Amino acid sequence: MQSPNQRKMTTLTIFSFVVLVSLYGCGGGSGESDKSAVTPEAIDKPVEVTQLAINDLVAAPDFNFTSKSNIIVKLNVEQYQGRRSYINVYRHYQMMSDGSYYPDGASRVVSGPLVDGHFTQTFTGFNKQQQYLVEIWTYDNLPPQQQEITVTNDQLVWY
Amino acid sequence: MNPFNTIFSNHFSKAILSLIFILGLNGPLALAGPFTHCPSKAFLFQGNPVSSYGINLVTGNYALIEDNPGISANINGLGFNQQDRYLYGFNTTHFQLARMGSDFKVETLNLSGLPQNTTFFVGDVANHYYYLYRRNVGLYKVDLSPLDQDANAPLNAILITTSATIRLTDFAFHPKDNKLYGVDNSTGELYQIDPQSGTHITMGATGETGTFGAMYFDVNGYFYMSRNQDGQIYRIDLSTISSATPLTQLEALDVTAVKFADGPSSNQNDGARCASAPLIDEDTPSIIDFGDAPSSYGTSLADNGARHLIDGTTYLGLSAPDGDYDGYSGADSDDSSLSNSQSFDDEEGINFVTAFEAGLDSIVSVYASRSGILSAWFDWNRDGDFDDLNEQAIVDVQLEAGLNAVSLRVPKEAIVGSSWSRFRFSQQSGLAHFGGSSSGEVEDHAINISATDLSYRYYPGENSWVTLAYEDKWPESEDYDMNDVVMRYRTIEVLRDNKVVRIDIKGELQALGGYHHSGFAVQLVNIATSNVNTQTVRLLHNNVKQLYSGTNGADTWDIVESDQPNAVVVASQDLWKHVTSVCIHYRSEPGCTQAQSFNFELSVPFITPVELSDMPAPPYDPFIFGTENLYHGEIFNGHPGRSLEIHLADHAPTAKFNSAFFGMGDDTSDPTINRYFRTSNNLPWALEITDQWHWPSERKPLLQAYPNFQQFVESQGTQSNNWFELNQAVSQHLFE
Repeated sequence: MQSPNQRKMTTLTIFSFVVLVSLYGCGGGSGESDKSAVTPEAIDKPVEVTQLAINDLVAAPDFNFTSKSNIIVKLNVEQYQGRRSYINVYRHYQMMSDGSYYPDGASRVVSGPLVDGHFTQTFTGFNKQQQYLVEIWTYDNLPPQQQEITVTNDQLVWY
Repeated sequence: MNPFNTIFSNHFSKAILSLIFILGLNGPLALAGPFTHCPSKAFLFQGNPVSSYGINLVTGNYALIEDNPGISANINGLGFNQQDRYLYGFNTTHFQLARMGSDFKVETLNLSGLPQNTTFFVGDVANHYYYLYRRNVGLYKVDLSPLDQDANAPLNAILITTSATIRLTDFAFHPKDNKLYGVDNSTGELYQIDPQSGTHITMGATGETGTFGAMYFDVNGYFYMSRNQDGQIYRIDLSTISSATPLTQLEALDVTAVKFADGPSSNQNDGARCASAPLIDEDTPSIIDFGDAPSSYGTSLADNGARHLIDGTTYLGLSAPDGDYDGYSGADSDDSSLSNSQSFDDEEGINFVTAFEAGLDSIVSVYASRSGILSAWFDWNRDGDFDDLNEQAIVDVQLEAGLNAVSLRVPKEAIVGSSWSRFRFSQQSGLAHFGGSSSGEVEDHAINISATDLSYRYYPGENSWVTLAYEDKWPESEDYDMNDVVMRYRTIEVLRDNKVVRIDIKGELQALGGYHHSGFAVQLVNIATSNVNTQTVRLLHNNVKQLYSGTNGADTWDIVESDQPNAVVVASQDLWKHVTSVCIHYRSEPGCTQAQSFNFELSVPFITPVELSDMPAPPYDPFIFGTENLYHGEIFNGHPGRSLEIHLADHAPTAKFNSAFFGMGDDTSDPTINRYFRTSNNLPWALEITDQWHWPSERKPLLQAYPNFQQFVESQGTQSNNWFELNQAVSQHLFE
């Protein structure tokens, strides 16, 4: 059964093309880290703003004032069957000079063990973000397997 | 040869020589004069000719300031005179009183009255008097006030007592009781000496012996001593002493010396410091990094918390940490230093990439800026400290620059639940979980110790926030500045076999910009109250466990409301009870900046794990409600108290809400169509912003501060869905 909240969150399938372009534009698809989130300067002077009074602003009767949707992360990785392993999904990360990704640990949205190479979980995604970093760690001090995955049909699928 | 020229030349040469002599030996013109202020640094003096070092007592770092004192002599027994801001000491080579100004050049003074050919190694200054001590010789004092008029004024040493039996190599004046304190080198006993009579009190064993050539105080009354042999700096807590402290209390004080930092070693040492200065000067940018674990772990300077000098090359993560003036405790507290408003979250070099499961190995991903040494502590038994056996899980592991995967074993006795860890990366080895270090960084991280095969869902991220903003005048719409209650908020769901066994909810109160008193609670729609394990449910306020969500005299309020069909967990009955404001409101009026000071954590375990299909989506249903027995606006007949709730749009209130309030004022709720808390224009009284957020300042409407909110609303979220970001704001309408 879907809760009322979940029903309200299945909104906004017309996703902003502008956002996609800007993500590619910053090279690597990482969202802002918490640190960079404080960096952008606010506007110093009033821009040319139509000073709409709040009483004149009209919202749609069912708009919930956020843009979120449920995203399913799915892994089915044969090579990890029978091996103790663990997956993490991050919103924010950046690409290093060697091509690997450096995740921002604060932005981890899902974590858990792979069971016989399988993992499936749902989490709440923000529509302005279309790419996530997924990584698999084993317990043998080897570097993780990493994939930057784009949300497709509300899913992150490891190939 | 011209006789005139010869005579002139001779006379001229003599005059020049005389001038050089006057300037060189007696001339105050050649000296830089006193210090301009009371320095936070301590000074260390070594060798012959005496070299002056500046020492940072917080980290143990030191640097040579001047090795040319202008005289071939050793100066010892130095003390800083706060009246004229000179350093006074004894020239042990020529048996003279001397002083140094801000250039650390020695100026010899005109002193008589001391025994001939006797040198003094122990001295300090208080109230414009210089005090000298030598064992078996005596305690003397010298009035320095004649120097105010004339640097060559004759000074006279006055004998206080010849009774001098303690083996001292330095002593220092306590800034609060103006008594002298020193540690006997061979017994390690701490003594208090009365500078008027020379009598002393034995205060007890410090537990340390050695040649303590340098002793200092800071403004809070902490006593520091530096051991010549190994350079170790110890601290003794004498901060509770005042001039009114009775003898019995003095003798009962714990005067154990605690290792504080590693400084320079020397075979000849003396120290001096302006005792009225704080250890860290807040007038200059800090170059010290602190942790931010709860205070029980020893985080602040007062608690001798872990701290590192930021050397610019040794750090964790991709960028160097920012400087802190102290260790601030609480969630994300490294972000919110009042004295350092530019402070940012620099805890980003450690990543827990696997679970911490009792009895099993775990991997920690560590990014090192360069090679260095890592140690880490984990509070496995969750008792609020890192002191227990096996809690240092990483001991002096050598890291290489870049990513390092470090493995460790979680003890099988580890207790499942949330806890804390501390990582220290430095060029030094052998660090403890407390104390100073001369390089590197400390990162404190919350951890989850789990049973096996648990998964986690974090909203919006493990250590990131959404912001909840409320207008508290419902059902009236007023200024729409969305700052009456501003709360940072995140949730963690703990899952086993794809069922939720527990949820944790964390919040950080950012602002109270309204006139009313509100509580804060979360309704878990679809989860029965009877399914919440009330025995193990946990509420922390600023990391301190609470029995109730609020109290008022004999009245108490539960954390889990009992008479509700849906589970409702309450973080606070009155948010104003946790903060005090420097202004009318809390952190909402321009210029009313103060540190964020209240956070909560709710941990809600379920008796029967909840199927994912039954789980409400985060952030669930967080709402504010009226505090009992307090006014909440003219529109209500009496005080609505708990029966008033304000939720996000279309979130139905709980069973405690008085449904007679629907439709009052500007509200157009209609439960028959699941419409709640909207105006006739469909606008809400509460917003969830999916990031950290800078809220509008008092009475600045949301649309003025964030003009793109209009497009976001009118496009139903398809455009301007970053309307809340700082670079979309009109800065002068924001609180900060």
